[in-house]
Amino acid sequence: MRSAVARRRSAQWMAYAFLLPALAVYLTFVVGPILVSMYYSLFDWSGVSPRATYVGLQNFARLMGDRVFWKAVGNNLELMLLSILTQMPFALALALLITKGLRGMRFFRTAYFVPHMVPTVAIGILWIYIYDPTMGLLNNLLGELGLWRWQRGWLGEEATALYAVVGTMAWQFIPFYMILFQAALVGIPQELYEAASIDGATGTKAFRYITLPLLKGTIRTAVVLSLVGSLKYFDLIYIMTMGGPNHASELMATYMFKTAFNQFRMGYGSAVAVMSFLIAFVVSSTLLYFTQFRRED
Amino acid sequence: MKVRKITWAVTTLLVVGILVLAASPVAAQRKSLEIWHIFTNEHEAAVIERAVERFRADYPDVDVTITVTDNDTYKTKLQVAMAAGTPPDVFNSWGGGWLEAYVDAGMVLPLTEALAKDGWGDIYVPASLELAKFGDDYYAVPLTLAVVVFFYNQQLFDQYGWEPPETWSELLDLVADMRSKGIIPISLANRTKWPGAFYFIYLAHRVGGHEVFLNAYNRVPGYGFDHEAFVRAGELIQELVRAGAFPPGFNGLDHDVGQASALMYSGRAAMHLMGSWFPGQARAEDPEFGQHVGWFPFPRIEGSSADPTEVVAGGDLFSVASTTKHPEEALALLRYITDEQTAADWTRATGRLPAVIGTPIDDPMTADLMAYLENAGYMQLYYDQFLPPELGELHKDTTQAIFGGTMTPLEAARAMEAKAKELLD
Repeated sequence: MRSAVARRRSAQWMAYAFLLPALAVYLTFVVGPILVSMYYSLFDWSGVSPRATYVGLQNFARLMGDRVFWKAVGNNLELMLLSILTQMPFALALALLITKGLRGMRFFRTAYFVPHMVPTVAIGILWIYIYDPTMGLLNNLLGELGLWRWQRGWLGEEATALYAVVGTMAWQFIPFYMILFQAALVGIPQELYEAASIDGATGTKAFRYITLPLLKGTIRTAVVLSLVGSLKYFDLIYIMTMGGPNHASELMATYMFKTAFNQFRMGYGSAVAVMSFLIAFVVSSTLLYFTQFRRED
Repeated sequence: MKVRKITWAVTTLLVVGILVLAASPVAAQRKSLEIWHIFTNEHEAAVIERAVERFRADYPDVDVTITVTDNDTYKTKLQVAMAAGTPPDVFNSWGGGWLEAYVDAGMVLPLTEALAKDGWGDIYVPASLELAKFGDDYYAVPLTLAVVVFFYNQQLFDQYGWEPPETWSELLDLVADMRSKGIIPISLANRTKWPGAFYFIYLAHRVGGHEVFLNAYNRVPGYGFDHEAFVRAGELIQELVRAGAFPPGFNGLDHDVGQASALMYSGRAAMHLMGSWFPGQARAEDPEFGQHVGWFPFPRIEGSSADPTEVVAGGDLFSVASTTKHPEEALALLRYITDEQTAADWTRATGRLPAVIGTPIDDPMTADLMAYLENAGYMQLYYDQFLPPELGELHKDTTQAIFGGTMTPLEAARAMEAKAKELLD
């Protein structure tokens, strides 16, 4: 008869064995490409040619003086801030509404969640039509309301392109955070509110002193998700503006794609990728560090 | 323990099974070829399908797989396949700097020898083969040609008594009149940048002729991309923008989802500078509108000595990858999809111009456009395809910025010249 220790050890090995396939996939498709990009970023290489010239850190030196890249970094940071500012409050407000237990709320909950279930490409194209300056819904609506002056070529003007996409992103992601907040709200015991109401704390007071503190963890998670998502954001920008006009809505990821694939500069594109990775890594690990720090106190 | 034994048994069985399958000889001797193209339009895809069907009948031992991908996605997809060293045997290409990048990488089979055999090369409009000539070798054969001209809504023109303009100032007058009638003069969706680039190329050539561009490209002393013809072209674009010729927010409109053609179909816009694939597309998408499409050449500029019959044009070509395992069959397939029979079928089914000399054309407008292209003083390939990709992209970026008024024509020209110095000198 085998000892319990030996059995446990063998079970552990079994667990490791089952982890291996996932690890292999992770190493091949995540860690591997990152390392390979770092390697490529040291070359002047078209991506198809058998000739690649080693140039050391020249690509990075060039990147430091690349106005478009820094514009993209700025846009990413702006996108990050705006996403959090637009998506969190709206999502929380909607979550509060749908947990009120009013009649027909089941319908609203489903309806509000629909945008998140539409594929991103479809959302992008739908909103391209909504923003169409001549025939689009938005400009026509403004026209009907007599707000002619507010009409714009939303996606075509440098001043508005990025914000127009931020609006669409909010439409896409608010439902997701709404569900996240809703789950947390449902988990808050009713007794707390009952006790508070006996003490005279209802309405905004209850929200301020019960709901918000108990949602802290969820809000933190939501902010981290939104932040990391914004730093590596690509899809709606690529679909709706291609980073244009004149790089007004360029992001690090779209710029990387353009340099590597449209301009045939795989080496430089890899340098852009490595820099974006570093920036995203530093920003998100800083944030994670601080949020963890808080949890302890 | 029993479960464990079963697990092991199943695992062993699977592994052995996979090994046996992998080792067994592949269903002998059949050759396979892969072809990639971008003709997502069903009429166009059907023409390729029929050509491949003819090939299959004559080469029963060859399996041909056709993959159709949308234009922009195709370019990325092909680049990845090329980088991995496993491109399709036969693939859609456009000549110019884009193809040259692959030629330089040794990924494209030279066709010069094959074209010389039994007069294969002689069937094509000569200028179309030149699109893919690098050094002394040809690397692609054409299926179709396209010439860029102004298309217009004949009903609107009749209704208001407008005439197609022949000169730049006539165009400006027309634009002013259309504005006063509440019609958008020219439809343009410039997010993808190439539709606006047509204006820049045409204007540069109407001002200075094709020599200016060729000399700038070949780095002839005294010429460059900051030549006054390019600066002037930018100024004329801005003149047109200031005249209100284009729809609001045109730099953000997406050509690929039909925002430019929708303005034409709905009668909100009157003119559209586009490739000769437009009428066929219009007939398919809006048959009612498709019957009222007219065209006129890009206007000449008063006082310019440049040849006003020069045209901006391009084509869809096909190349063979040098990595193909069956070069003989791949070349045969290449011929089937670009021969006289396919050209005739193509023109009939799509209304697009053929690249084979003497192809019968039934549709009068297609015939007109073909004649116009054949009599052109010079055929200029789109700059972004002609130039090395990095310079081509910059040309489109700067032109879009000129349109948007965020760059002066001089700044744009200088940026182009600086990049050209870096890449071409």
